[in-house]
Parts: sequence; C-alpha cells; structure tokens
Amino acid sequence: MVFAVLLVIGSITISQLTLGEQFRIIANIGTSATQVFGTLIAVFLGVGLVSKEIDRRTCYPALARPISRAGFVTGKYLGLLATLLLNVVLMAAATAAVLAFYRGSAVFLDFAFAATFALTLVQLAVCAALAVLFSTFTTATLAAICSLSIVGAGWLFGEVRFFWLNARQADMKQLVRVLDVLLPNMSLLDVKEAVTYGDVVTVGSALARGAYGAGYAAVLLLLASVIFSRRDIR
Amino acid sequence: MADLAITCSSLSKTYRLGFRARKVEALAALDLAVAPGSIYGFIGPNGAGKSTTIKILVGLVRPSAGRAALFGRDISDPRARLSVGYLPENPSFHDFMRPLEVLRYLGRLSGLSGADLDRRAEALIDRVGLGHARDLTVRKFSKGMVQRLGLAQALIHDPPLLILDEPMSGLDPIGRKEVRDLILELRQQGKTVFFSTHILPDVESICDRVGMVFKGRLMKEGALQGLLDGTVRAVELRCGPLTPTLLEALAPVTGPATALPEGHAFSFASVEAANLAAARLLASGGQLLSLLPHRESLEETFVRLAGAVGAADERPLP
Amino acid sequence: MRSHSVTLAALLAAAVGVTALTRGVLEPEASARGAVRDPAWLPSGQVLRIASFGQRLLLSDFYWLRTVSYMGETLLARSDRWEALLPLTEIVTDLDPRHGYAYQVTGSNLAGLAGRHAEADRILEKGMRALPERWNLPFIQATNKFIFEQDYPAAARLARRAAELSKKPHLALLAANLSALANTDDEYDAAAAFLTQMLGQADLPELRDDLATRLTRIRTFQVLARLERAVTAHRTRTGRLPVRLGDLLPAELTTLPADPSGGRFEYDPATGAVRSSVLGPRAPLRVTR
Repeated sequence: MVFAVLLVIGSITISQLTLGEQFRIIANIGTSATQVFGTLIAVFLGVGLVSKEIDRRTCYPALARPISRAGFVTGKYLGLLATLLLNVVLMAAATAAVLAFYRGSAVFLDFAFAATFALTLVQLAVCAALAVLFSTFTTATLAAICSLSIVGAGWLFGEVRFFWLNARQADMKQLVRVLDVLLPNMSLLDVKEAVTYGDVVTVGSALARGAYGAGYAAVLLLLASVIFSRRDIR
Repeated sequence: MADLAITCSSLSKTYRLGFRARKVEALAALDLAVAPGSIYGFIGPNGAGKSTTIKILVGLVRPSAGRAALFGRDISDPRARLSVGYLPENPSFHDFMRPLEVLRYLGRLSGLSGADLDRRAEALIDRVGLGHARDLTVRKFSKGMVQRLGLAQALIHDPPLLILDEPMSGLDPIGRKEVRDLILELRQQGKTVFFSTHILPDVESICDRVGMVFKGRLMKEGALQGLLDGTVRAVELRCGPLTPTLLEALAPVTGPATALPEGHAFSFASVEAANLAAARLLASGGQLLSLLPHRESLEETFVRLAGAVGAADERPLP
Repeated sequence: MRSHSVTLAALLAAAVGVTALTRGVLEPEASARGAVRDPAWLPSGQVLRIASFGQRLLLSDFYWLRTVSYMGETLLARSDRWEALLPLTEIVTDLDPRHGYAYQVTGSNLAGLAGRHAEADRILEKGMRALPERWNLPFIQATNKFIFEQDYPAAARLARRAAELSKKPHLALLAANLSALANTDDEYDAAAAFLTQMLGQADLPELRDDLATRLTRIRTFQVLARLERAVTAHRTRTGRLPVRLGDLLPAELTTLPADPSGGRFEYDPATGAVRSSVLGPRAPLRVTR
C-alpha cells in the first residue's frame, strides 16, 4: 500500500525518462498501480477472510451468536470492501496530487477520473468476492490461486473475446457466449484510458459498468453465503 | 411443551470425510432434554459425540437428521442462539484484539450496544479475573486467560442458557475451582448450564443431571443422585488393631481382613452384614474406627458402560 | 564451541564472497541486456496485449521507454543500425494504438535519423488509421516527404490534410508552397481549391490577406508554369525559342492567358524566361509562411 503510493510519487522520476507526454506515464502508473496492488490486496485479504477464521477457530464464538452465516460472510466482505475503498481513495488522491503537481492545474479531475477509480473499486469488489467464495470451501492458498486465475482469465477474455467473435469457426462463438456468463469481463470495468487520454465517460456508461460488476460480485457473494451456510464448522 | 432449555430428538450427524466421502457416524439418534435452571453434565469418551452435539446446538454444524431446539425455538432459526452463551473447546480469539474489544465485538453480534455493552464488558473482565490484563492483546494471553475470556464472552449478553465445551480444560486447580463456583453461582441466578467434560469429579461435585454419551448415543441419563444411589456395592469397616486370636474368632462374620497401618479393614456385601460384624467386634472389645458404605462412583458407572459398548475402540473424530 | 564459531564465520565469509563474485560477473552482462540487439527477439505486440492482463497501457509505456533509450543508445553509438526502432514502436502502438506521440517521434526519426523512409511511412500510416484526427501525423509525413524524399505532390497532399485536421490555415500556406514546388498543373489546381476553401473559413483579417495573396501567387505561378511548358514545347518543335509570347499561338496555346496578379507577362527572348510584372519569375518559395 505504502509502496503503491510511493510508486505513484516515483512515477514523476520515471516519466522524466521519456520524450514528452510525461502526463500519460504518471496517469498510467497511477491507475495501473491501483488496479494491480488493489487486486493483490483484495485476493490475499479475501482468501483469509473466512478460511482463516475457521482454521484459527476465531469464528466459533461469533457464529454461535444470533447471526446467520450469510450475515457473517457479508459482514466480513463489507469490511474488506471498506479497506479496499480506503486503498482506492488513497491511490486516487496520490495520483491526483502528482498529476496536479506536474500539470500545475487540476483540469484533469473530471467525472472520468472519478469514474475510473470508482470502477477500479468495483473490479476489486469482484476480485474480493471471488476470493471470499473460494475461501468458503477451500484452503487459503488454493483459494488465492483460483481467484487470481479467474481474475486473470477475465482480463485475458476481455482481450481475446473480440478475436474469437470474428473467428471463422462457429463453435468459438458458442464458447464466447458461455464464457461471457462465466467469467468476469474485467475490461468492461476498466476505463483508465479515460484518465490517460481525457476521454469523456458518460454517467450512464459508468453506472452500467458499475452495475455489471456489482451484480457479478453479488452473485459470487450469494454463492459464498449458500456454500458457507451449508458448511459444518468442525 | 413447557419450554425446556435444550431438546434434541433423534439428532443424527454423519460426517463425510476425505475425497472418497467416507461416512463417519458421529451422532446416532440422540434424544436429550435439559430442564431450565439445572446444571447438566454431558460426559463421554473422546470422539463420543459430545462436541458434535454442542456444535449442532450452537449452529456450527448442521444435523443430518432429527431436530433440536433451545427454549422451544428450533436451532435452524438464528434467533434461537439469542438465549445461549457458548464457550468453545479451546476457544480462540483474534489475537490483535484486547479483551474488552473481543467482548464488544461479540456482544454486538448478540445485539448489545452502547453503554450497556461497555458496562457489562467491564464488569465481566473483572468477574473472570482478567482485570489486570485489560491492556494486553489476546496474543499475549496464557491458555488459562484465554479460557477466562471465553467464559466472559459466553456471558456477555446474560443468556439464560450456557453451553460450555470442556470448560475446565487448560485451567489450573484454582481456575477449575473458580469455574465450578461460577457455574454454581449461575445456577443460583436461575440459569441453565450444559457442559461437556471428561473430568468426572467435576461432574460429581456440581451437576444436577448427567448424560453419558458413547458412540453417538445417549447411554445413561438422569439425576446425579439417581445414577449413583441405586445400590450400595460394599460397606467397609475399619477397626483398631486386632489380635490374631480375635481375627480368627471373628472370621466367620467378617471374612478375610486387610491390614492397615491403624489396624484392619473388612469389606461386606451389605449394610446388614457389616452391622452384624460391627456388633461382634465391639462385643469382643475391638475398637471401631469407621463404617463406610461404598456406592458405585460415576467413574465406575462410566467405565462399566464404556466396557458394555466397547468404547475402547474409539474412533478418532475431528 | 570456539571451533564452531570459526566454522560459522568461515561459511558466512564464503557465502558473502560467492555473492559478491557472481554479482561482479553478472552485473555488466545484465546492464548490457537492456539494449535491443536483434528485433527478431522482440515479442509480438498482439500477444503482449492479450497477456497484459488489462495493463496494456502500462506495458506500452514500458516499451516506449525502451524505445526512447534505444534511440538514445543508437545515437550515442553513432551506429546506423536502426532496425529495431520500427518493431519496438509497433509493439508500443499495438499495445496502445492511441499512443500518438510514439507514431510521431518514430515517424520523424525513422526518416530523419535512420533514412528508413518506407518504415517511416508504415508507422505514420498505421498512426493515421488509428488516430485519424491527429494532425501531427500527416504533418510529419509531409515534412518527411518534402525534406528527405523531395516528393512534393505527396508532401503537399499530406500538408493539406494536416491543415484540414488541425484547423490551422497557416498550414494551408505551407501546403500551397509545396504544391508550387511540385509544379504540376493538378497540384496548382488542388492548392488553389484548398486555399479558396480555407479563405471561406478564415476570419482573422491578416490571415485572410495572407491566404488571398498566396492564392494569387499560386494562380500566377500556375499560368507561368503553363507558359514555360509552352515555350519548351515550342523550342522542341521548332528548334529555337519563340521571339515573343504570341509565337506560341496557335500551336502551343489557344489563347494568351492574363496575369492573375493583375500585371502582365514579360518574356525574355534571349533566355526564354517568363515573369509577371507584379510577382516576378516563378521562383522557389520559402516553405514556411
């Protein structure tokens, strides 16, 4: 976390290595660092969220209280989400500060800037939900591997989907239809080009993207709740 | 039904273990009824199903079949757990928290809040003897301190029913006495205490009722006195030193003697036989030291039952 | 106990020694590895894009920094081996097709420093497909065509495109000068048409004056060029220069054109040169303004 903020500040130095257009390098490092470090935080905190409570038996006195399992999972998840929110806000502030320092103005602080970081939070919410889902029925290590693989596959799929859709074989299109439902299409939640190039992001587009991610995370969390409710804590 | 503190009917649990889903029957049609205001000792060998029963009651494990209810409310309803305070076996808490934080966190989950919660937490910290440790994190706690904190969290919401899994384990003799006193005090406040243990003297000293569970079945259940009163197994007579002549003369009524530092001891099958022998002894100038009826102890009952069900081949259970 | 500590100390010293030694061997090699030697070893931009896990902008920046340092190293080494510049920039722009600055810098350096004109065209045309609105790209290609290839018609066409995209009518003046260098009838027509169009859009008085002056000059030069071609044709046909412009009728010209600058055409029978009494001879113009 501290490292990520330092990286953003350090991006000024990196940006001086290039010819012109330092702005884009600072912006790219800021948005990418938020995504990459946020994803790692979301996954590695997320996988410990439930499985660690079971392994260390700290959930026993909590689950024997008048709360439902779903409530427990949701509460833990919301706690993690608050951590991620803080993380994203800090990174956005650091990026904005560095960009403002470099530019001498804050014109880039528009809706697109806010939407990019807000949608990054939605991405992290999906990652965290994946991690929590896996951690309800497997070990932390396995859960981390599984969630990172699916997040990675989600990014890959966002890139190759276009090629596959234009492929000759009809079965590729069937595969795309199936993966559309199964995998989180992370690139739908990614508008960081808007910060780099000052694109306009409409409120409707941002809301639709946010709703897609929130819906996906909600499905995962529901699954996690169902699995955890059926699980015996021994 | 006048709401019993705990009712279980045909409660069963079959665990599936490992990749091949090997079935292990942890609990087989267990029936149980615990009346409010009593202290109920739940005893059995390791792996008999004590912990499984308790975990089903507090909602950690789902029963495979059968029903259970706390104060008439089915355990599938989370609100059933409003009325229960649970002390897990070897409890464990987030080790970065201080005791007051643990109590506030768990108290809030039981629906407490604000000044009421703070007040109760403060009082319980002192009540369980952790007042000196309020600024330490749980990481630095000894096993006994964690156990005390476990008791405090079970009591934080002042529940009418306490379910304690091995509450004495990990405590030194003083701690055990404190826990015993606490349990007795709770009964005086009208609470129901249900606890599992394999330390039988603890049960004998404080329980009203006892259930013995073997291989997932309740084998014997009843009031402690009822379990023990049944028969006088033997009466022991002790007397001062006797001359060999006198020993021989008394032999027909006393049977063989056992030598003791202070004299001799005799064992009789009935009170009547003992009385007869005592009368002869006194009449022949012997000195009567004591006359003690030997009832079957809980331990003997337990061992006898264990032998009957072949509990020696215990199955390891998680 | 003592021998124990001595053994430990020896092991420690050995371990430190090994790391120091290997580092000394490896470090020069590692810093040399940053240089791109053979473009065949560069990955494909499309593959990198898929494997970037959503971080293609960052990866594009990374390869751009490598491209910049490659340019620096090649310049410092005074070597003419520029074969990795295009592949590197292809990677950068495959990863981020909107990285306009990369097309610009590589487009001008490939032509200016490396003399690889076809490659410069390739990267600039890729850039114009990806960023059809970015005026710098046709502008840079126009300068490439003008300075390094002397392909004036192409340069003029690209300059007009840059002028149109940038809404900078000054570039129309440049385009007109390039057309004058091209010196073909079609180019004069195109330049005149474009200047007329720009005149319709310009509102600054000074700019309108500039555009109007340039338009007159282009039209005058067009006629002068036509007269020059007629004089040459006359000499080819008859073997000598015409005595006066009227001699060009009717074989070379149907009518004698008027001077669009408002003066009249003056003809020197000794040299065969034609000039306008107002604007003088058709002469190479300053390219800027």
